[in-house]
Amino acid sequence: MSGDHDGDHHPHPEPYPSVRARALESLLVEKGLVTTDAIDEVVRTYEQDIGPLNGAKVVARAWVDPDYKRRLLENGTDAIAELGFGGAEGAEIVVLESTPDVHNVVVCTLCSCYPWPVLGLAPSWYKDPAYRSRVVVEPRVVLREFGLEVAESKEVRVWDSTATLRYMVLPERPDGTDGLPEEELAGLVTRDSMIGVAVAKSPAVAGRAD
Amino acid sequence: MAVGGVHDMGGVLGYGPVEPEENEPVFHDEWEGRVFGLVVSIQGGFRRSNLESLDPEVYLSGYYRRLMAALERGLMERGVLTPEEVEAKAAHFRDNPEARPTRVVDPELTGRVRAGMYRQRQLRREPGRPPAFAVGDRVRTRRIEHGGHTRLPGYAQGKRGTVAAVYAAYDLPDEAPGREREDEPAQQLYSVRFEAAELWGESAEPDSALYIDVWEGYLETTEAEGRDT
Repeated sequence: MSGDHDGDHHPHPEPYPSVRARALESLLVEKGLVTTDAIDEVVRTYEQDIGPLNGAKVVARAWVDPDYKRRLLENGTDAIAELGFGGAEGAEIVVLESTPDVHNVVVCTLCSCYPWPVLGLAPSWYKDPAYRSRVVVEPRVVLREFGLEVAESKEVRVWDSTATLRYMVLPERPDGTDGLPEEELAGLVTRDSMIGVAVAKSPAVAGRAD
Repeated sequence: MAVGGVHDMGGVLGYGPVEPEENEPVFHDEWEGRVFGLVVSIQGGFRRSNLESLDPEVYLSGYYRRLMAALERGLMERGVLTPEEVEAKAAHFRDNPEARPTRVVDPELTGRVRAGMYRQRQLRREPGRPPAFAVGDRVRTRRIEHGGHTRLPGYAQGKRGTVAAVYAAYDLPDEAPGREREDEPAQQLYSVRFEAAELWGESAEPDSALYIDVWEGYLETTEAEGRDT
């Protein structure tokens, strides 16, 4: 686990951040600016309710419903709201369609902008320097580090979310999925495929993985 | 491209390989979730400048650490917290590892915080004037000299591109040091396509392009090159 090197984990506890976080929480609760249960609720919401399963449902719907797909590409925010998703960091969501000719990948080089309502909170690598600095310069090399080889015939488009908009990729529908129900299709849509550092899983691979 | 701070990372070399973590949890440790909960619950707890003016070492120490440091700094700037009380409280928790933060429950506040997470905000503004550029226009980005916060990444300054989409008008979040922002009208936002070779020269990968969201004030027409503005 690559997360073990950053010092926050036992058996090498680094007490500073957890001590500091407790001090801040305690002071802000005592001052009446926040309550314990409000923080609990935020944590619970992003751990359990708002995550990439939302985006996967959006993608699966777009794969089976051409009218929905058209609406999604025209106005991502509104089409995503049709499925009941929206909120913080989702005021303006733009959906980018990857095709046999174009592969889209999303980054935020200045900070870590990310479409929370459909993807949840960003993974660490998305917020860390290596991805943010390199994917704009050498996208194919970076994608290879994720195990994705983009065909030479495709154009790679890197989208740097520098402003108000949040981007989500609509990955290509995998081969061999004709006739699969929407729920099963959603199971093929990974978080990484909606950032653009992966493609959607093929049914055979998905079967093995689960 | 030395205009930006450490946060302006696009194109900077030397940060090593990307290290994705298998089945990464939303929060790696409890404190990360608590810090995130504080940031979401306390509206306006910190400004972007609080984040971007952190020491590089702190900024690079990880997302939740820099979030916590920026929150602390923002609340101190607003006079909500003093350094002395934070140090005293931290000492208390350091000396009492079993102690928990003061616990207060308020379902009404929690309801408001919960509603805030799902509230669809309207960020589009009246532009004041029609867009100056149209899809297909050749444009060139300016160089930002004010040294404060800007949303035009260093690697995309002074570069030629093509307008790929005309979005709506939004508030421009630039923060020049000492400048009042209140009177800034909203500005038209565009998606501008830059060929990789324009940005990176010979080291650019073939068949790749960058799409960057660019406010109108960052743009000039290519015809305007060399003219004093």
